[in-house]
Amino acid sequence: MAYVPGGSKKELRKADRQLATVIDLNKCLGCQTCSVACKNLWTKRPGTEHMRWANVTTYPGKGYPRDYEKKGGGFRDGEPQPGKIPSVIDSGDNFQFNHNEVYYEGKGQSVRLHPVSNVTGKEPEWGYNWDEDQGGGQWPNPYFFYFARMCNHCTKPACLEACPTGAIFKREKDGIVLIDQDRCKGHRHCVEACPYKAVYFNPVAQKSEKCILCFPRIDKGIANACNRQCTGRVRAFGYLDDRDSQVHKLVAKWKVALPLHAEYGTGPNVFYVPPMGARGFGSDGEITDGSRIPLDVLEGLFGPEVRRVLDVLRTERAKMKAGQGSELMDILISKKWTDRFGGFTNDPLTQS
Amino acid sequence: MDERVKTGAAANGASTVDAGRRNFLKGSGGLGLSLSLPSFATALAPGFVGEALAGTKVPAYAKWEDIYRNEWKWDKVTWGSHLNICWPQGSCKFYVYVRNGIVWREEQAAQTAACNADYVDYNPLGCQKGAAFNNNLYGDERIKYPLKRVGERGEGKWKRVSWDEATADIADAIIDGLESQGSDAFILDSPHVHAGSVANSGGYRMTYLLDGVSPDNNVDIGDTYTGAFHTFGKMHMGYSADNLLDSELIFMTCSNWSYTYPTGYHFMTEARYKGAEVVVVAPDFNPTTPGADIHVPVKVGRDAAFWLGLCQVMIDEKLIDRQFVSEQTDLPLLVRSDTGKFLSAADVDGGHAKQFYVIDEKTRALRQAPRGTLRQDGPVALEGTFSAKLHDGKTVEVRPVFQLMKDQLDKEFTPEKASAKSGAPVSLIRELGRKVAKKRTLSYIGFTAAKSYHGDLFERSMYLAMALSGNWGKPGTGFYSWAYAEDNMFFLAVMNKPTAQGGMNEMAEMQKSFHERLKKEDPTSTDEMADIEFTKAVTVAMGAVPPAMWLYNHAGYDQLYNNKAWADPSLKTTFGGYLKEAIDKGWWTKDHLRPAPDKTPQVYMMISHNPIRRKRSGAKLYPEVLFPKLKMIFAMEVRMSSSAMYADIVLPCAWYYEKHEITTPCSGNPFFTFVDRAVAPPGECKEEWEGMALILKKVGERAKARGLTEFTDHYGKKRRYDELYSKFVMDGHLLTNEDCVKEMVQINVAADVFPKGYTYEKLRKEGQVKFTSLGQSVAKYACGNEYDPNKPFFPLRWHVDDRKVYPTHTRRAQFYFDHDWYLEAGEALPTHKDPPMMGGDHPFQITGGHPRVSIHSAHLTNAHLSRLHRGQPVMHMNDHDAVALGIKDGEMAKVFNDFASCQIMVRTAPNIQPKQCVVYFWEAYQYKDWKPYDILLLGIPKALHLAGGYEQFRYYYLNGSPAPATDRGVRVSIEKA
Repeated sequence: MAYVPGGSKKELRKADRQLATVIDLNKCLGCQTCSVACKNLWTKRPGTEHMRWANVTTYPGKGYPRDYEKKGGGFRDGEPQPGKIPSVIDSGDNFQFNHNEVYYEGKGQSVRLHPVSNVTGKEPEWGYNWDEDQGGGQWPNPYFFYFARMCNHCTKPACLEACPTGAIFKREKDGIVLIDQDRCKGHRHCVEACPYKAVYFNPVAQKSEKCILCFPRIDKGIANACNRQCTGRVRAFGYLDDRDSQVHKLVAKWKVALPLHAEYGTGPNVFYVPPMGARGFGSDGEITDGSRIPLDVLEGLFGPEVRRVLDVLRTERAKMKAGQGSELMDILISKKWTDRFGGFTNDPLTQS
Repeated sequence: MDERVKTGAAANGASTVDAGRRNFLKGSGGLGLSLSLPSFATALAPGFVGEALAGTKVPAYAKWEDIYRNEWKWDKVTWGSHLNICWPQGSCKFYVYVRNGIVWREEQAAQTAACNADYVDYNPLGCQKGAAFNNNLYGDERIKYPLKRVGERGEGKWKRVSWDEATADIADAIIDGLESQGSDAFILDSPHVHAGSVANSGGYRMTYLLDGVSPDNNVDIGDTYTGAFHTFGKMHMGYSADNLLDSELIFMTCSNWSYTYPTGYHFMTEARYKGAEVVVVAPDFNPTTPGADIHVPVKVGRDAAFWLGLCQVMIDEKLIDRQFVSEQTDLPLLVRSDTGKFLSAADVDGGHAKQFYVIDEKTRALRQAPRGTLRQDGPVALEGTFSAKLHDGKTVEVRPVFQLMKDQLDKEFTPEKASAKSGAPVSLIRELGRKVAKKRTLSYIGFTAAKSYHGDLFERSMYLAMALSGNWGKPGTGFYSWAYAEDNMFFLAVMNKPTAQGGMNEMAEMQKSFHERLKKEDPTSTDEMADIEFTKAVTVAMGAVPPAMWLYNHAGYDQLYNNKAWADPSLKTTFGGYLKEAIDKGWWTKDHLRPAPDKTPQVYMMISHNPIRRKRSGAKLYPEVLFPKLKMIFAMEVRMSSSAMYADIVLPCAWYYEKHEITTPCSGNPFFTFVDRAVAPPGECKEEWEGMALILKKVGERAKARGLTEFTDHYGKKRRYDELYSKFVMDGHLLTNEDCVKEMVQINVAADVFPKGYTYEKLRKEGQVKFTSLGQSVAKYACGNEYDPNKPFFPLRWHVDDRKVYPTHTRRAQFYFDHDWYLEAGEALPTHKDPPMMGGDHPFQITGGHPRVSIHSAHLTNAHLSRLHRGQPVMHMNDHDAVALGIKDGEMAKVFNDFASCQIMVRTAPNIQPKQCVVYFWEAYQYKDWKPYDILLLGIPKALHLAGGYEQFRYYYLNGSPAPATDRGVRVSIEKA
């Protein structure tokens, strides 16, 4: 047990190995199975209802929590940056509904089933996934893709650096970033500091909470819920240094999986295969060969490597079309679903 | 406690948040203004680090982790799945976790293997609805006790009653109906399979025994492929999802897999990585399109012109597969120029009226096209004009259908003209025409086709493109994933005795007799044709009827169907006019017209079935026209649906995980999955099967008390009241869901759907079993291929490899209908017609369909799932259209047409085509005044589909007759509310 409570930041962020996730944006269908899987398991407890440790939104869009990219945090040139705390509404709210009034109070058609904000008690104006399927571009070249996110379990976590009580640490054996719930005093510096806004405040417990990468499952050799339950087979998981794992092959060997906003300086360990996009129409309305997703949009998320990655995907796909085969495409397809999980393939039947 | 109080400390808005922060900051000694930088720097590590480093303070830190570890605990795990009607997929194998007597969570078991190592497996198989289902069990929408209405229908005033009282009321109403109106009085508005395979069979079995009426659900909701039904003489020709991996070009159209087929979506994206191109044909850049290479932005309702453009390119550039076309289709058959009818032996030598002709390409002479095989005796002419001498001495001009088709395509569907009609760019029409011709091509066409007024033309045009390119009956081809093996449900509804006592043998003997009779009448007929005749007979016995006539005669839909301003201007008369002619000609009989026009329905039964939500304009016409006629509306329900709100009695039922069940899957995911009874149902919920048995038992008791012994069925025969219960439960053999599932396993073994020797115990242990065949009922033949569990499945191989004939008028895949109505309407050949102005002259066209996080309305009002979106009805519209109307995202709009209006929140998006608006499903009671968007939809069926007297223009269970669900393209106006 390497975790030394309240130890130095250097010690707290030390990890011998790192678990990582690759999310393939060409396969994500925005179905929310990951977010449902996560919520059902971890964030139904009092005070956590608004949280979506695993979340999916439509990009372009405001993301989750709302406008997280505009809320600061992280590092610039190694220096920590100020951040803002998302509101509960930004973080998804927790709509309440009036089922009983509609069904049993004899009011007939004068009432309708509708949500109210758990915060304001009024008709909501924002909530989780509010801008689903809206996206960007202009007809006839609209574009969007679904963007699944979770805690990045960063190599240099801003939350960890910001915590005044030393309650945040990386597990030495696998790099999972955890908040010691005994030690956390609810200061929320971590919420401010995380540039991905992946830390949330539990107002009941008065503690900060975040994705725990399903460590009780990981400890039993079972892949985490969002990754394992992803019905689109979007996600690969495993140790970044495990040369046999798909995450290693996609991140380190083929270099087609890129971190989100690497410029935030935290060393995120969730990586994305950028979307190839549907072909666009030219100004004459006729079909072109180019993707309709503007390259600068993708570069804004994943940096200048995007162009190269898209070229690799195109080249390897063409090899498949030509019947020449491609290791990369085989990985992205993953005939055998269990191959995705870097050895964390136990049935979810062993409990804590 | 009020939820808001609990989380108040972290409430939104500066004032509340700041108050909360101030409070806790006081405690930590900080100041509210700046939490940020100073405390963020590593240099400022708190002083207790020293203690820790010195090892002087070592708290028991394992403890806090228990907060999370304790969540990962349970008492037991059982098999589960969901009996939703997500048919192309479904049958997902789940672990169901029980803790403290409640289902706490579920997770995909992910044990659904690939057909073989060269293909992708199905795992993890299970979507957001399935992975959250435990929330439905305990949601506020759940019904737990029998309820009896004490206010007006729809008012929401209820009294809790006992099952005994509730079933006595229902039984009396059933008896009153049978005595006053005969068996046409009892209506099972036939359910989807939401309540489960057992409940589904139970509903039909109950109706069968009462000789009641079930307007065919499948046709009613427009889950049909009329174009396929007319082209191939059948429509259940599905493939398995892994068949996509054998394809080089995949068209996704009239569908939206991102919403409706989440568990199969990966086969599409993985096929793309394997080298296939994916093309989405849809008016909007819909949520499936991000996974595609090409979007074909057809205008709403104009798909046929796009496909015909592809056909023109293939023919014009001489890219067609001539042998395939010559054998598989009617395109070489000769048509008389004078009459537009096929040249038949009746014309030529006084022979068989359905013996048709081709031109021998070599000799240029007439030759009979074989009726018993698709194989041609040598090459046949596709092009040209010829003459034929008739037995009356006349000589007439004849041309192959292909020539007629080519002429029409060249005249009306060049890429430029097809583009103008469809909205698809010329360059795409050319590119895709060439690609379809060269590539192994598959489509997934969804049920939006049947929900489009001219959807049959979309389909026929698409099948033509596939025919010209030789794209069916081979791996990696096919049109959709809708084939099934549902012998378990079908036969349990009508069997007289258990399989072990010869119940299935009896059914098999009946089937055999149909086969022998037909074979005797026509040696060139096939088993498929005989089985259709058998199914027609069972259909009548079950009381299944075409729904359009039921709605027209009894639910007020005549006022919609006969509205001339909304009708297809190319039709010679109104729907009513066509119906009268069809009845006069004997195409529809008293077996189809039930309840008879002079009878009044009395008792209306729903089983997890929600017509107020899904019946087009039903939220208006049902309460206004149908319901006042009814003496008893009762719902067997798990949740309070909009329709249950209108019921007189609501009977609470067990939901998934609370009763034994077995999924009945489609070919998309060819596995039957066991659902265990993980927990007892809450309150007084009962299995539907038990509830139905109680009702029938009560009917016997009440009849006896009232001195009644018999009622008269619609054949005029007597049936005994006191036999209903014992027949329903097969003399005590089928008392529970578990009994029924056991019987279903035996049925499936007898029908070869399950492996020989397979048992209930094995199913219960393993949780899932793959088809071994498509069974013994109509689906077996419709697919036209043996099911091989070790390979991806594709349909129509028998026709292509073995040259088996199709069950159509011409015995071939038929693209030319020489039926008078089709000739008059200009639809003898696949063509394009603009959709009629349904709803009036309004600028916007509605589209829509299944929502993302609910199967129909089953999950719609669950709070947990409703937090995955705006939690209320929204209408998607183009951002520029919204600006022009002065409506902002999130504002309410009034949507209206000539018939009705509703209010709905607007969601603006550039991915919606201009002048299109998209609304997915919501409950009626989620709208202001319970006026849902569905109220605008009309659902006017295509009157031409009343045509009969032609082999494939027919009705049997699930198949044929007009689908009263055509809502895509209905006209509306929008203004700011």
